[in-house]
Parts: sequence; structure tokens; C-alpha cells
Amino acid sequence: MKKEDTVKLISAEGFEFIIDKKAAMVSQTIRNMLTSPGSFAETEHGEVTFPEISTTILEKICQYFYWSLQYASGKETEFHIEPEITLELMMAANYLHT
Amino acid sequence: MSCSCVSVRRKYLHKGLLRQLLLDFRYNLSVRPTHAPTEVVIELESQKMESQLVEMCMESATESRDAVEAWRRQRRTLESMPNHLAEALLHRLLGRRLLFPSLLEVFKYCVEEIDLRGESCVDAEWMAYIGAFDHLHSLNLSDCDKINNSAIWAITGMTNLRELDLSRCSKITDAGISHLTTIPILEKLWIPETGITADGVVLLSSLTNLSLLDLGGLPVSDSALCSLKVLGKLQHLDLWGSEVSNKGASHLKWFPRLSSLNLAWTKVTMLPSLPSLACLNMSNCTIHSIFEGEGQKALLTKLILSGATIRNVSEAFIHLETSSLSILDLSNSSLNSYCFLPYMSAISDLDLSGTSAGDETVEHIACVGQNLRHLNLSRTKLSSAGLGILAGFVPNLETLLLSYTAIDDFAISFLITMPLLKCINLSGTNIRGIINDVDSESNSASSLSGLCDLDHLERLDLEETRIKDSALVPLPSFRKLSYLSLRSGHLTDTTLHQLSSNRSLVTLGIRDGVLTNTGLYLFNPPPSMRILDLRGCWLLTEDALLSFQQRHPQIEVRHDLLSIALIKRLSVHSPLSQATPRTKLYTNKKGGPSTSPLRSNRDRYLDQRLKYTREELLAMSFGSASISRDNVDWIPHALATDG
Amino acid sequence: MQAMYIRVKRNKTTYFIQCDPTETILQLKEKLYNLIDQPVNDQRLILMLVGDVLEDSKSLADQKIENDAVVALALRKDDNQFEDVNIVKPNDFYQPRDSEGGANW
Repeated sequence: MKKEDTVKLISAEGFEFIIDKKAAMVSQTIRNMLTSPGSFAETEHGEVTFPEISTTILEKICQYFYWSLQYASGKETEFHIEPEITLELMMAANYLHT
Repeated sequence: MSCSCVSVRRKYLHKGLLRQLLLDFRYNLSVRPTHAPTEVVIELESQKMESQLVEMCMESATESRDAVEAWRRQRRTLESMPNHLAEALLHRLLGRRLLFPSLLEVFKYCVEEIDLRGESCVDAEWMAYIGAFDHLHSLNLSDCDKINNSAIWAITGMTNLRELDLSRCSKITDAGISHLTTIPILEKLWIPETGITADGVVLLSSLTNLSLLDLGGLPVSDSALCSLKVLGKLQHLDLWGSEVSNKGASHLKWFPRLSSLNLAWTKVTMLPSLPSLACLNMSNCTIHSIFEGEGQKALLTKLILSGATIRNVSEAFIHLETSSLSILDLSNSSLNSYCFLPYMSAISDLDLSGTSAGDETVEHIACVGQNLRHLNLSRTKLSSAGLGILAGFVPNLETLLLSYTAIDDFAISFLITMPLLKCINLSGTNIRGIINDVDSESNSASSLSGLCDLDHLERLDLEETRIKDSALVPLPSFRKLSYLSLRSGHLTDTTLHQLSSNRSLVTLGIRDGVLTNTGLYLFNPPPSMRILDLRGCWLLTEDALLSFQQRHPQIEVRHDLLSIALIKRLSVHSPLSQATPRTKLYTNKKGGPSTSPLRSNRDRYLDQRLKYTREELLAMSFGSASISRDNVDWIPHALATDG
Repeated sequence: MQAMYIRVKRNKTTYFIQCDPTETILQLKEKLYNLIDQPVNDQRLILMLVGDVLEDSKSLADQKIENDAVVALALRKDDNQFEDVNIVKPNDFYQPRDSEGGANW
């Protein structure tokens, strides 16, 4: 695991999540940011800030990225969504196209 | 405290199912009343498929009453939520019976469209909340039984409402119109089959922004129509079943933008020249002349004259500009000549089913066959020789419906000359699937093998023919065939097994076949298969069918016994089932010795759902939480997964 | 794609690390070294669910570390002692309720 293969996602409250780029690409929005160099200044440092996404939701999103990769490779686990966060998570997922 | 977590497993994420889930509330299916020409318009909104996590969240948020409470405690309103998500959430809650009037409050600022079609619970209390939706743009209340004049008082003066559907809300009367006239920005209004009279229709003249007005089934008089002349923006006007006569029809000239007009089931026999008109429906009218008069001719693209009586065709159509017409429906109409057909050079959809058309008519069709894509000649006097006339003249034909005509196996050699055919209906014809005489049946070739060359063939209907197993041998090599419908007492397990090697089949029907339990047990369905229709296969038992469903949960099996099983299952949960004594009849039958198939045949053909009113079915559905109210067709599937 | 991932947390930062149950804690620390430039000797990992300090030689499976587990990272301070475990909890809208706190982050 190399640093260049990771990306740092930063929540509204400034919490940082360092995840594999491959996982982040589960989001079509992030994929576009990472694969169109120059158009998003922040991605050049391997960092993306989401001022609209709270920490709890961003972490859940990251967990979803990994779940999605595991799921795609055939591992049939469940992804738990606590009812309290469903709507915020839905909006974040909608924004991130994931 | 509740901590119910949603668990999403692969089988629930089956793409088709998911898509169905997403789309079932997005289809804006408006069905015209059955005693008028039935015209089904499906409008698929251009909304993209949601992402997987969005769908999972949606599922979790609408899982139970507790789940709803959990997110509702977090937020008073959904103000920041994008419209399409809020609307999807609202409709999902509605479909799951989790939406109640006070919960509507959270959607107040974020919903532009609400579709409450057919919801019998929607009443004045719901409307009180909906009336406060600031951004509401479109509201569908069609078939909401409880909606009356006082209920729609709540929408008085709404500032953004542009579309309102009150179709078949029979309690809405002229008094209700006064509430509507407080919304001058209304652009589209549907009020067919309500309690509104001609006096009420006159009041609509103040809604000058109307571009669509559906007055179907209302007693609109000539003078009431005349009073609507001020609606200069009107583009679509529906007057089917009204009292409008030729006198009223002459006023239609006053709508300069009118592009779509429905006069079905009226006394109108003569229509003046309407230059802006593109679509005209005069089904079940007696037609003397269309567009007689001075001035520019209408460039009509769609003409529906289903069930119409046209005594003198050349007189009726003389003013019609035929060269622009692309869709012509003359099904079940009565006319004496088809000589106008050769002038319809742009025709792409032609329906002559149930008319007196015969082989000589086909010669006219061949003249304009170049652009033809859909042709319906079912229940006509067509013969195989007549079909031969089309050979080579319809290179773009995709759909050809020939059911209940006298065509036989020779027709197949002509079908091969139509390379783009996707959909063929040969039900009820003399097709036997073999070329030779009965004498040499054992070594005769299957005539269907010719269809193998139709690379695009997706759908084939061969119901009620004398086709036997051996004639179906070529079918597995049809590469794109996804829909096959067979119905014959000559078909056996052999057919089922032959078809298991067709890799593209999604829907297969072998109705009334002599399939056995063993045959079904040994059947290895192609992975693509989703629907297996075995209705009328009377040798199959409930156990065999349920066991098949368990082994193949992705396939929805249709069979008379499964419908009965369903009702029995539901009746366990629902006290209302006592109101349906016929259920008992079937319950008692179960387990008894196998009765003569002939005796009960007629019952078996009946779809069980036909026996219940919508309300009874709904009541039964509520009784079982696992069953979606919206799609009764899924129920056998649901049984399979929890059984 | 490896079989599992864990979440390594320190202060306001979370590292999602892919790993296999057979890997040792030392191997895990080497992966962290690539990300944070802190030598493995200066890292201490604590499984949050039980509070155990993880031993370099043991495998993840040995120490019952499952998919999505949270592991705290403590670094060696200037005085050669390890700092205390410090994971800042987000102070956003929906704090997990006390009853489900442990399992939820």
C-alpha cells in the first residue's frame, strides 16, 4: 500500500479519512475528480474536502466503498444502515453518485 | 429504542426487480376508460436509475414505522433534499402504507410532484397538508374515491400548481370548479368522468393558461364548448363521450394551437379544417368528412378511427393530407374501401385488425411499405398468398400481427423476406409448424426453422395453433428470442426441455400443455428466464410448482393453483377474506382427488384476481406485510422466498 | 481486493487499511509506515472493542480482528513513552446512542 494509491477525504468538521483510490472510485463523482486532472485543484494533493458531508456520514460512505468492492468480488455480507442516518446518507450518496 | 438495520442481499438486488421497484411509481400510466377507446399512454419520466447506495438508503428509510420515526426525529423538514429523492421517498412510503397526513409536513418544501393516483385513503386531511406545499407543480389525484369538493378547497390559490389530475373523482362537481379557478396558472387539467356538468365546464373559461384539458365522459354541450373559445393556448382537448355535435365541432376552429383532439364516442360526423392539428381520435364515430373547408391543410401525423363507421371513404378523406400521416388505427372500423392507403407514403404504424381488409388490401399496403414498422392484420381475411404480396416491400417492418387469420405454414417463407422483424404474432392461425401433408408427418421438416434467419426476432406468439413438440425443434437456435407464448394441448414435456437450451428466453408461456410434474422437475430453465406461464397445465400439482419456485426464485411462475395458494395464504392474515366465499370453494378442493380436468377447465382459466374488487385485493395485500401492494404479479415470487 | 479492511484511528484521522486475516500485526504496521512515515517501532495498535494492545508477531485472526474493526494508533512521544489513545469523536448531528456506541464507530 503506497501513499500515492490513497486519497484523503475530509469531512465538514475537518476529520480525515485516508482510503484506497480504488475504493474512492466507487463514487462516480470522486472518480471524475481524480481522473480529470487540473479541473479540481484539490485532487492534485490527493485530498478532497466535502464541506457538506458530516463526519459520521463520510465515514459511512467510506465503509460503503469497501463493502461495495467486497460485494463485487462475491463476498455476500450485509451493509447496515442505521435508520437515523438514512436520509443524510441518501443525500450524500446521491451527490457522490455511488 | 429501535435499531433496525436493513440488510441487502444479492437476490434482492436483482437488477430487474430493482428497476421495477424504482420505476413502478414513476410510470405515469393513464388509462382511458374502458367504454371509450382504450388508449394506454405510458410516459416514462426521464429520471435516471438511482445509485445503489441511494436505493439501499431508500429501502432502509421506508422499512418500517420505526425506521420512519428514527429519521423523522432527526429532522423536522427535508428542506435541503433534492426534489427527485424527496419525491421517490414520498412515493415509496405511500406504496408501503407508511405515509400519513402529518408526515406529509416534512415534504412541504422539497416536493414538486405528487402522484396519489388510486389511493382510497386520500381525503380532506391529506389535502390540508398538500395545500401548503409551496413548490408543488403537479398533483395527481385520479381515482381517489374520497376526494370531493371540500377536499380540494385546500388547493385554492396554490401559486405553483400547473398540473392537476382529478380523473374519475366522481364526487367532484361544478362547485369544485370554483376552487380550481383560483389557480389561474394551471396549464394541464384532467377532469374526465367526474360529476361536472356543462355548467361547470363553462366556468373553466377563466383558466386561460390551459394547454391541456381533458373533459372525457362529461356532458359537454355545444354551447359549453363554445364558451371555452377564450382558451387560446389550448393544445390538447379531450371530449370523448361528450354531447358535442357537428355544431360544436365547428367551434374548434377557434383554438389556433390545437394539436391533439379526441372526439371518440361523439355524434360528430364532420370536422372543419383545423390546420394546427397533429393527432385526431374519432374512434367509434360515424364519419362523413374530415377537415372540409378552406385554408391550409392539417399535417396530421396520428389518426385513430378504431371502431369508426366510414360509409364513403373517398368522401370522408378527400380533404385529409395523407402524406404526413405516420400512425393510422382503423381497427374494428367499418369501411368499404382501402384505396386511400397508397397515398400514405409516411405511414409507419398501421392497424387494420378486425376490419374487412383482405389480400387485395395488402396490395395497397405494399405501395407504402417502405417506412412501415408496425402492421396489425389480425382478424382480417388475409391468407398466406396475401402476405406474399408484401414480400420485399416492407424492408423495415418490425412488428407483424397476424393472429386469427387464415394463414398457414406457407406464410413463413414470406416472413423471412422481412429482415428486421422483432415481433410476430401467429396465434390462432392454421400454422402447424410443418410443411408437408399429414401423411408424411414423421419425416417432414419444421417450417419454423425458416424464422431462424430473422436475426432480430424477440417475440413470437403461437398460441392456439396445432403446433406439436416436433415443430418447435428449431426454436432454441433463435438467438434473440426473449418472449415465446405457446398455448396448445398438443405440447408436452418435450417442448419444455427443448427450450431449456435457448439462452435468451425471458418469458415463456406453455399454456394448456400436458406438462407433468416430472417434466417440470427435470426442466433446467435458461438463466435469463424470469417468467414461466403454465396456466392451464392441469397435470401439474401445487407441490411441484412450489418446489420449482423454490429452486428458481428468480422466476415468476404463473399457474392457476398458485393464485389459489396465494389467496389461501393471504386469507390466513386477513379477516376480510371471509367476505369472499369463493376462496373457500377452492380451499376445499385442495387435497381432494384430482377431478376431471375438463370439468374444472373453465374455472382454471380464470385469473383469480378477477374475482375480487380492487378494495378486497388491497385489503388482502395489507394483511401481509411482505407483499407489495403495487404489483400483485409478484406475489408468487414472494411466496417462494419465504416459503 | 483483499478479504477485509480495518479502520485505524488517531485523533481526527482514520486510515482504511486492506488486509488479510493471516497477516501479522507487524505487517500491518509496515503498511502504516508507508502512509504516515512513522517506523513500526514507534507505533502501538490497540483493538478498541476490547482495549488490547496488539502484538507484532500475532496474526489478525489470532487477535480476533474482524472486517471493519476499529484499531487505535498511538505513537511514541519524544520522551520515548507512547502517547495515550486519542480518538476524537465527531460532534455532528447524530451521535450514536449510548446503547449502541461501541459497535457503531
